[in-house]
Amino acid sequence: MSFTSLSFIIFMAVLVIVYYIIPKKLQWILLLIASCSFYIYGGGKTILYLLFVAGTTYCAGLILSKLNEDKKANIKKRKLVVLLLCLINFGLLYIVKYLSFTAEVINSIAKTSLNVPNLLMPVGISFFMFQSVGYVIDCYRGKYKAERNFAKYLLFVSFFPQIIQGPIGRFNLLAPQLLGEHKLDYDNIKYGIQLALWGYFKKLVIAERVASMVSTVYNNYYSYSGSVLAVATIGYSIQLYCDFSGGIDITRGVAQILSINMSENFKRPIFANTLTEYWRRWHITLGSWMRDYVFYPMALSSPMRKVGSFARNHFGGVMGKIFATSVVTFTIYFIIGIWHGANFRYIAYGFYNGILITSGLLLEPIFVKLREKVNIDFKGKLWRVFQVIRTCFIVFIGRYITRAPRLLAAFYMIKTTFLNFNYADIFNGTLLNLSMSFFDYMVVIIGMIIVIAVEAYQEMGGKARKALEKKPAIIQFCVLMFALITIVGLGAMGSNYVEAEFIYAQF
Amino acid sequence: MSSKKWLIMFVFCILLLPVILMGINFTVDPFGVFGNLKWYSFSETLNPRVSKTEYLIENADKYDSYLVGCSSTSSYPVEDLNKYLNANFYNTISYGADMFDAEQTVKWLIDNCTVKNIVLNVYIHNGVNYNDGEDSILSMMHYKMSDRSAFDFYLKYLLADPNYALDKLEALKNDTWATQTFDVFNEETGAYDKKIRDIEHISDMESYFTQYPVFTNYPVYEEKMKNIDNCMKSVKNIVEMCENANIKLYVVCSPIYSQYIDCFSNEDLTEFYTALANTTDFWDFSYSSVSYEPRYFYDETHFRNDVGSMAIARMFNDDSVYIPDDFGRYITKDNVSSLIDDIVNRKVSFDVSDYTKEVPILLYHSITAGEPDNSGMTVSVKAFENQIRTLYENGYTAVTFNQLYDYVEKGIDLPEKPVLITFDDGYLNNYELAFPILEKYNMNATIFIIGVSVGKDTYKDTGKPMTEHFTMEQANEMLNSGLIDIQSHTYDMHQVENLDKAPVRQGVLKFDDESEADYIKFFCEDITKSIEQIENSTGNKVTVLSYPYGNHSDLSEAICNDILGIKSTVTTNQDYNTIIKGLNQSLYGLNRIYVVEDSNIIELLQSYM
Repeated sequence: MSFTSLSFIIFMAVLVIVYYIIPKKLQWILLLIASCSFYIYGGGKTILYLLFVAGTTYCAGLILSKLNEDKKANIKKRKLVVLLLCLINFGLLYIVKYLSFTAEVINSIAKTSLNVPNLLMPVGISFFMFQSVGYVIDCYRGKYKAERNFAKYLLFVSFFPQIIQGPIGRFNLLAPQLLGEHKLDYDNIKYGIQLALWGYFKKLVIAERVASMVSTVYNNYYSYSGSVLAVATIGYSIQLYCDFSGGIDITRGVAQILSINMSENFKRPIFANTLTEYWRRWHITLGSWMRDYVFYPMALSSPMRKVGSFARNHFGGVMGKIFATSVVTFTIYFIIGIWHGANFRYIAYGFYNGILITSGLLLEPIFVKLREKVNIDFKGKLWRVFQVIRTCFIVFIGRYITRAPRLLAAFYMIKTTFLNFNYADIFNGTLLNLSMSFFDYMVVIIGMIIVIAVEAYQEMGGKARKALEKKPAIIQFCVLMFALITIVGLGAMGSNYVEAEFIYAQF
Repeated sequence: MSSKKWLIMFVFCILLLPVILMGINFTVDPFGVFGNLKWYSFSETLNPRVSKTEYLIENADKYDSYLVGCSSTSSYPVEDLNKYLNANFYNTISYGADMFDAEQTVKWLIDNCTVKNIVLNVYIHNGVNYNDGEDSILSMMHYKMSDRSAFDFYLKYLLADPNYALDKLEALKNDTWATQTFDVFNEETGAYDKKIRDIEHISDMESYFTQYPVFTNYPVYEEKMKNIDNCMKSVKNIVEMCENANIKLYVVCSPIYSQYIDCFSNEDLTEFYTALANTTDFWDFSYSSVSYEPRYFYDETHFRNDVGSMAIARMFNDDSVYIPDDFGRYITKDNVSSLIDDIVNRKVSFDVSDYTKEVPILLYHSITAGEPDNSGMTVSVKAFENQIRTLYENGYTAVTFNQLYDYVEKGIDLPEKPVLITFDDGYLNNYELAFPILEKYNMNATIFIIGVSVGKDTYKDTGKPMTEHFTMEQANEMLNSGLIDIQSHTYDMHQVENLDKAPVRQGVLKFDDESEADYIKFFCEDITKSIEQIENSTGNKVTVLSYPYGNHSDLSEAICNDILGIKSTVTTNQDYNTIIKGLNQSLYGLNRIYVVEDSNIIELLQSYM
C-alpha cells in the first residue's frame, strides 16, 4: 500500500479513529496489527524476512541481556553473539540484495554462467535490519535491557510508517512511545496532518512531475547536449530530495497523528556548508547509525589504533594525525555507497564522497594557511552563500553517478556537461520535448521556490507551522485549500499520474 | 485558531474538494453527459460510447439508418450508403466495440430512434473479445444502454479526473478546422474525421513501407477465438430484433490484412465463418486480393475509406466503380464452404501490375526560341521538340489527368507507356512554341496558369517586367484542340520576393503568425477565384492544383480535398508516381520530374524508374 494511494488514506482515517477510541492499553496491539497488515498487503510472504530478522535480533537481545547480568561472563561470548547475529542478518541482506550482482561480476570476470534465483525483495529490508541490528548492539553495550515481549519488540521492528524508507529508529526513543498510552491530542493530529501534506506536496507535485523528464533524458543520455543533461541532473536532485524527504515527512506526519514522534531524517541539506555537513543533514538516521555502530567501533578498535600510531610514527604531521580517521571515513562512505544498491556506480559514488571528504581532511592545514593569506570575510554571508553553492555543486556532480544507467555513462555525461554544454538547448524548445510541458516546469520551479523559502525560514530558526497558527482563520483556510487543491489537482490526479514507488523503498 | 477548530476546518475542506471537483466536471462537462459546453467531437474522442448516445438522444431525428461495429466500421463512408439507399446514415462506431456493445446499441436504437437500415460490421476480432465489462469512464457504455444505474453513471463523471475538464478548456482554445488528437470524430457522420489522414501521398510500396513500417515486420501472435458462441448469439439477437422491427439489416465482414489472418488458427477461422453463415447471410470482404495490398490499409486492422467505398459499391452492384474482381461476395449457409476453403488454404490470385501503374509526370516552365537562360526553367524550342519526338518515337503516350481519374475510379487501364506532360505558370511561349510541337506529335499536356498573370508581362504590384503570359482566348484555343488541359497554379499565391509586395508567402503555405482560420479563408478564396476564372472563361472543369514552388502541407492538401473539390495536386518532388486503382490518395501530392535543356529524356525517365 503506497502512501500516495487512496487506500492508504482510508486505512489511516480508520486507524486514527479506532486508535483513539479503544482502551489506551490496547493501542500498541492495534498498531502491531495495523503494521503487520500493512506489510502483508504490500509484501505478502516477504513478511517472513521481517519475522526472521525480528526473531533473531529479539533472541540475541535476550541472550545479551542475560550475559550482561552475569558480570563474570566472558566478553568474548557476548562478542560472539553479536558477530553471529550480524553474520546471519547481513548474510540474509547480502543474499536478497547483492547475490545476483555478485554472480554477474563473477560471470563477467570468470566467464561462467552462475544462475541466481530471482528472490522477492522484501520492502524496506535494509531499514528494519539496520534498526534491529542497532538494537542488538545497544543491548550488547548494556545501554538498555532487552525487550522480553516478542510482540512488543515486533512492533518496534515493523511499525508501518517507517517500514518503507525509515527513518532508522532507536529502541530507547521509539519503543516507549509505541508501547505507551496516548490521549487524543488535537495538536498532534493537526501538526501531523500538516507535515504529511507538506510531504505529499513535495512528493506528488514536484518529485513525480520531474521524474518522467529525468528518465527520458537519462534513458537516452547520448542524444542530448550538456545543458540538457545538466537540467535533467538538477531535475534528478530535486526529484530525489523531494521524493525522499517528502516520503519521510509523510512518515513522520502519520506517526505524529498517532502521537508518536520519530527522529528527523532531513535537516535542510540544501543549506549545508560542506559535504560533511551535507551528509549530517541528509538521511540523518543512516548517518548517525553509521557513526554509532560502525565509525566509533572501528575507529576505536585496536587494529585501527595500531594503524593510527603507525601513521603518527611514520608520516608525522597532519597526515599522521588523521590518517586512521580518514581510513574509517572512507570505509563508511564506501558502505553507504553499497547500501544504496548493488552496482558499481554506487560503489563509485561512495568513493567519490569518501575521496572528497578525506582529502578535505588531509588538505585542511593548507586551506588554513591559504585563508590567512587571502583577504576574504570567512564569517560573512557571501562566503556562506559560496559554501552552499559549492556544496550543492559537489552533490550535483555526485548525482550523475547515482542516476546514470552505468558508471561509464555517468563519466560520459559529466564530460558532455562540461565540454559540450550548448546552452542554446535550454531556450530552443528542446526541454519541452522531454515529456514535461512548460506548465510542468513552472509548477516544479514555483514548487521548489516554495520549498526553499520555507526551508530558509526554518533555517533562520522560524517555525512554519507555529507561524501559520497565528495567522487569521481565513488565511489558514486559504493556505489549506490551496495545499489540498494543489496536491489533489496537480499531484494525485494528474493525467499522466502513475503511482510510482518511493525511490528509496528498495534500498 | 485552536487545533480542534483547525481539524474541523480540515474536514470541511476535505469535503469541499469533491464539491469543487463536481462543480468543474459539471460545468465544463468533458464527457458531454451534462449537456454543458457541448462539443461532441471532443467528448466522443474521450468516450465514443457515452457521447454518441448523448448526441443521438438530441439528434436522432436527423438520421434513419445506422452503422454499428468496432473501429474498422468507420471506413464505410456514410455518404456512399446514403447515395445507394437514399437514407441518412449515422456511424455509431466506438473503439474496440465487440458484439455485446453492438447488440446493446442496436437494441437502444430500435427502442429510441427511427431505424430503416442497419449495417452491422462483424470483424474477425469479434470472436476473440466479448463483453469485457469495461468500467473506466473512457470506455464504459451509457447507462441507458447498459444495466448501470444512472446515479452511479453520473457520479463517475462528476468525480472524474479534473484534468479532462482542463484538457477540454485547453482544446477549446486550440481547436481549429484541421483534425487534432482531441477531436477525431466527425460530429455529423459519427465516423472518424479523416480529412487530414486521407490526403497523404500514397505511391510505391517501398515508400509506403517507410511510412508504415508495421507492414514490413508484421507481428504475428496467437489470437484465440474464445467467444465465437457469444458473438454469434448477439448477432442472432440483432438479426431477430431487426426482423421484428422490420429493419433492413446488412451484415458485413470487413477486409482483413493478410498477415493478421495468420494470427488465427484454421479451426477458429472455420468455426467463425460457419457459425456466422448459420446465423445470417452476410457480405464477406474479409479475404480477397485486397487483403494482400498494404496500401489499402492504414494499419494492421484498419482498411482505408476508399476500400469501404469499393465494398459498398459491390453490395449495391455499382458497375461504374472500380472493384477488384474477387472483392466481396454474398455468403449464405450454402456457399460458406468456398469462403472457408479460400481463407484456410489462402487461395487468392492477383497481379499487382493489374491495379497499379507507374506514371512519370514531366515538368516544364518556359520554352524559348533563342538560347535558354541558366535558370534551368527554360528549354529551347529545339531541345523541346527533340524531347517530345523522342517520347513519341519510343512509344510513350501522353495521358491526361482525366485518364488518371478513370484509372483510379473506374479501373479503365492506361496505355502501355504513359507519360504526363505539364507546364507551370502559363507563359505565352507555351502557346506560341510548345503547343504547335505538341500538336505535331499529338501529345497531350496540362498547363497550370497563375490567375493574376494571365495575359500579363509585368508584376502587378511592382510593375517590373516578366516573361509574357498567354491570354484566356489563347487558352481557349489550346483547349479546343483537345490536346491541352488548363488547370490552376493558384490565382495569386505564386509570389516572388522583391517582385511582389511584401510580405511574400512561400507558395501556398501559411504564414507563421497567421491563424489557421484566416489562412483557410485566404487560400480558399484564392483558389476559388482561379477555378472561377478558368471555368467561366473556358468551361473547362478545374480538378488539379499545381503548388507554386511545390510548397504544400497536410493542411493545404486537406483544404484542396475537403473544401475545394480538387481531385489531384502536383508538387515538385522529383520521382515517378505509382497510381493505384481504387485509391484516390495516389492522385494527391504527385511527383514531377524537371526536364531541362540538355535532358536526355529517355535516360532521365529511366533514372527514376
